[in-house]
Amino acid sequence: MTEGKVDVKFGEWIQQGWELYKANIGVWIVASLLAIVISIATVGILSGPMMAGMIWIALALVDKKDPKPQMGDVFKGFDYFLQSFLFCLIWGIIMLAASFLLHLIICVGSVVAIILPIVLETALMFGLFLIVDKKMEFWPASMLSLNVVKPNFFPFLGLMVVSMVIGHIGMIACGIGVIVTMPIAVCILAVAYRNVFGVQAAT
Amino acid sequence: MSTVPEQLPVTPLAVWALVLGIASLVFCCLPSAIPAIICGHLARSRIEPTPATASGRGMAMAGLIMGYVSVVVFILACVLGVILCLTIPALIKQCNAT
Repeated sequence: MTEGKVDVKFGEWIQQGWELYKANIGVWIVASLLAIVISIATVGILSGPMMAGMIWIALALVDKKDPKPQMGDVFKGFDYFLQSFLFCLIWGIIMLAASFLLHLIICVGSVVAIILPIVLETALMFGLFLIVDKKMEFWPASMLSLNVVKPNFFPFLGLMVVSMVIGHIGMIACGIGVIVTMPIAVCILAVAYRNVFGVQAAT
Repeated sequence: MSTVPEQLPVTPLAVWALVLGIASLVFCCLPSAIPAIICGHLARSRIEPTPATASGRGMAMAGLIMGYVSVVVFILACVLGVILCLTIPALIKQCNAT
């Protein structure tokens, strides 16, 4: 397990993530469509497990698992239902409450309310990956992610911002483009996670 | 290349719980929320004694949560409806009087 200074190979991870996406574009688009439609239809209740399913596919592709993951494997996220659900619920509530309170402070509060979610998302960027890969509970996974990101905060913040921009660029096309672009962000973060935490001996 | 361990079959009741749970949220309907809750509980009671032979606990739990959320939303909507039915005629009457 990696805590302390990590060499953030920015360009290399983005390139590897893109290659991973390009080689499996069909699987990614269908899996992403399923994940987004189900998440929206269930008012976000299933966004945690659907995201966990996407991460499962990404990690299986990074690890070159045999047989190759299929689009239906996005439902494997339900194997981590409780922890992924709690992860999204608790951190979502914390983020919403903090943003609401910060908006009460005129001017400065609004600026901080914009920055806070990005900072929090960077700190928790490996949380769901740890839940899926190491079968950790949501709180220890969040804390481990925080401890890994903390000493390398700014390089990871850069990586997070770049993957968020790539992932959300599809919003331009009436939001539908997110189906195509969101998996690229997942691939980049999966490559980063594997490089930082290494391969699990037995999953 | 690493190999994936053999996948356990998902209990059909768990899949039903998930599908009915999603339907109950999408269509805001009680008739699919109650079967989702029943299927979810049945699936869990079947999976828990034999976790080595069947899977789908997560799906069953997801169905249960969505079923319960739909029931709560339905009850809240009913309460709101009753309150509105009771207060609106009184408000109209008050407006007419003034």
